[in-house]
Amino acid sequence: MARFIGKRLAIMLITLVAASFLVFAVSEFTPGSVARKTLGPYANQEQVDILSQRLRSNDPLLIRYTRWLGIILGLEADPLQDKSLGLGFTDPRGARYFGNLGYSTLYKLPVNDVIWDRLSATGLLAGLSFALIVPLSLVVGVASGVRIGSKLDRGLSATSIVLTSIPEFASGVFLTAFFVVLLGWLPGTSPLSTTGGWSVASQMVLPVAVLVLYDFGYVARMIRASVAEVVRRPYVRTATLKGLSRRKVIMRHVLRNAMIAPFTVLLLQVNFLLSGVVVTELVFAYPGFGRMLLEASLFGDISVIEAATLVTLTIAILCQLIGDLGYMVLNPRIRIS
Amino acid sequence: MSSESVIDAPATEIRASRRRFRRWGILRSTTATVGLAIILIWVVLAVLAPVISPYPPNEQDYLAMADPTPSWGHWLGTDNLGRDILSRLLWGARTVLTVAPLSVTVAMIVGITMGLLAGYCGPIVDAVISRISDIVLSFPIIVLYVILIANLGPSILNIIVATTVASAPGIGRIVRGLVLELRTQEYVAAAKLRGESALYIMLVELLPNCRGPLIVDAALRIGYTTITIGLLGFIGLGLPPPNPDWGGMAKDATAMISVWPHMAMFPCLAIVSLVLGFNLLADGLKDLADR
Repeated sequence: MARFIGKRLAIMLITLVAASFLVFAVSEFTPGSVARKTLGPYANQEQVDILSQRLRSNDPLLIRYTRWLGIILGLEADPLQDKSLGLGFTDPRGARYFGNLGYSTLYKLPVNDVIWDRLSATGLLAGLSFALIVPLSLVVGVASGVRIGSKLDRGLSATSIVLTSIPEFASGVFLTAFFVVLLGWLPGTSPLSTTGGWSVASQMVLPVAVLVLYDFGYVARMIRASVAEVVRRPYVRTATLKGLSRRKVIMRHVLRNAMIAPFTVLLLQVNFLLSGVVVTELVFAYPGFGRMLLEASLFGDISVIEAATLVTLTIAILCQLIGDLGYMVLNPRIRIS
Repeated sequence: MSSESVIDAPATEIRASRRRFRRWGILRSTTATVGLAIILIWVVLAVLAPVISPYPPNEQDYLAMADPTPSWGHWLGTDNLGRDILSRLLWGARTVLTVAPLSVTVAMIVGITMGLLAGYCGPIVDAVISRISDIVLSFPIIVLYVILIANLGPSILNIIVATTVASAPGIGRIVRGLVLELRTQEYVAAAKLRGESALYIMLVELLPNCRGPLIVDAALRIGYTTITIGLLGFIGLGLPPPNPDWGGMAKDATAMISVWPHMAMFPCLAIVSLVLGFNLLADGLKDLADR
């Protein structure tokens, strides 16, 4: 087990380095781009060239990448914070420390002061949605999985196809038109501040609803498929023939085995779920991680893009690792062999 | 998306699905027929757009700007610039119905090549291709799109490139799984004994036998790519204006949603209906294969 985890962690680290190198390469491929994006479109070419030289942006890509890693690990000082550049970028933590993710040119703040608040706001949104999606889809998925072809089952299939066909931005538009414009019950944006006269709770309703609507059908269908497969297994027939009540058969014999696949697939699909969060945040002007990444990309804030992708990649890969481990823990056949 | 279940299908099911697809009994599944009908309606509308659209897509009707809501002159109303929404939707259908299938075709070609090579050409090639796929698949999809498009710039070609990068590894995984199972079949051994080249075996013996799951996956992917194109338009990375682009139309209109909700609703409905068509088609095809 320990060896397995160790091996997986090593692969994870390699994937992380390779993926972050790709992001780095795409964003910083053209040598002058960092200086240009830092100084903005109104700086003249001479200023850009000078900054480029100071940042040593003309070095080969691989060297620049190792230097960037060195800054994160606290081995090197962030060149953008150099006082003599006169950019006014100062991090109260100093120019050289472990976990230094650079300086945001869009927000004019150290990246560390920007991303963590955003990440916790996104965590709140995703957590609330998950807390609703999981029990909802569990109940519906199991109920229709044990009776394939029943009215409930066909209803679920139809509903979930329709729901997965509505992208988050579209359901955002529909829900806003109905609950905000027509009925006036809820706020149309969710800045998480109460200055607009709406409570934070009321601001969470629509974003959470959009995420639940899109993902619920998908998750419920996955649970349904898994339950439907387990119900056909011989040991379930044995349990029924032994004289156990239907309730006991489902609770003790079906559920435990049927949860293995959805659990893993869900964690493996975390990338897919994260994408939905980004769009939802954009639609409702929610001050989250996804919207920040989008703004940074459109603005060309390279430090934030690189830092944010590093964080999302870590989260995604960690979830996949937990999915793999969970699969082992839940499934004795794999755990023992 | 939910392509995982296709990968897990055992060889017998793959063979059974092959037989079903050979008969092309799409009409035997109501779901698939409805899906296909929706898609065909959009295709016909898109092809006929120059003939049937009541106005040129970028023509501004200044009189309608005072009251852009649906009327006899503009069935679905106009946008805030007085452009007829129905005409723009019809012209926008042309864009999405070319870009989405085109992107998926390119992604399929790249993905199938990756999958055939990984599945058939031995453990080293397999390891290299699988690691590369893992790296790409470790990105949240939207992050990949945003980074690629924001750096490459929005254009049809770059949307195709981004879609290919994002979906080819998934397609490759499906094909690889199928090939690993199929390569032990006797007809592959027979072809080897006959002295056929690896290329011949991959393209003539293996690929045609993968087509069942691939057809289902393609239908799902075109639907999902339609969402992606809409999404890119919605976040401002779609086709440059004034091209009528469904996602872009929805984006421009959300700012005015509190006054004129119809401007955002109609483009969204168009996207939803087309995606629904592809999802129903995929679901029906899968049903037919499992039956």
